Amino acid sequence: MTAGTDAAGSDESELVRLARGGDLEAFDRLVRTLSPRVFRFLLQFVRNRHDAEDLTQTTFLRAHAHLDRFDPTRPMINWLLTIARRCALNHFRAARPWRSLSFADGEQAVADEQAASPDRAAENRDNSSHLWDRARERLSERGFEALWLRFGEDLSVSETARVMGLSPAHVKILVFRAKHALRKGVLPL
Amino acid sequence: MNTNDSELEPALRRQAAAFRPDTPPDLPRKIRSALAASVAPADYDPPRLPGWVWWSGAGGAIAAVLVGLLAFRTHPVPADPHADAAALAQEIQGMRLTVQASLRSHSAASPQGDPLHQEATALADSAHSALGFLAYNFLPSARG
Repeated sequence: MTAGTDAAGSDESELVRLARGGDLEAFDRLVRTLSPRVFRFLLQFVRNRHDAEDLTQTTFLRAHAHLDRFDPTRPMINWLLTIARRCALNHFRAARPWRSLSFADGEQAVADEQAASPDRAAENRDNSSHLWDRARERLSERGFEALWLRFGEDLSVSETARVMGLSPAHVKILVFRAKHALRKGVLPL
Repeated sequence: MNTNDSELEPALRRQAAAFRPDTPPDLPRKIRSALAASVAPADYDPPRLPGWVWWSGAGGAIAAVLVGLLAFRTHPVPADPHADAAALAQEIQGMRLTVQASLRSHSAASPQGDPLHQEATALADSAHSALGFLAYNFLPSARG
């Protein structure tokens, strides 16, 4: 961990401490810092900007309501992703399962992205239209989720396991199988 | 396999990092608004009662006042309230004497070891004490 990360961590701990005491401004700073990552994570799952935005909002409201349960010795983003994942699963239970989302639904997010920022969208499409799009096509929901948390969010195996509510061994197996399935159709890179 | 992993994992990281969707600029503001709404205590808005409830309540109150006036005219308050209190004290004193007399007559007629006699004695004592307590505490004239 670098000195900068340490400073960011201590700053985050301080903001969490203030937010627990009812300081809405401190929580607002946490929202501004962490909401882009939560939004990106949720957009990967729901593939719809509007839903991802709503779920990001729900995630932070739940986080604020249960702030006393957060362990400040761990990065807050991991805890937020855990909540966001549960929110997304509840969303799918209420709407339709992740597996039934067609790729056209996913492309809606890209279309929204194009409308929002054409240059950025083109860049994203060029860069991500290979591995992650194929991962979405080929992998199970859990496999994709484990792979994204592990390499998209850059969490460790144990952090990924905690977010998904699985054992580290289970995550290792999921990631191994996901990479194996992905290599078949992708290599050579 | 290791060679493939060494290529696949960085590629996954690189392509994920390249996926940088624009976060809606007003998202933090929306979250803040929703949070403020959820934290602030909601203004209590009591349910509005229908008009007939008010009218029936007012009618009941007027009827109660009329009944009270009628009762006042039928049984006016005595000029000296202490006179009634003294009369009541005398009545209670009379009840105490009656209880005592009943107890004595029952004791004379019943054998001392009879459980029924003992129970009656205890009841009479309790009643006697209760009447004395009420007379002493709530009737000023009984203290003299």
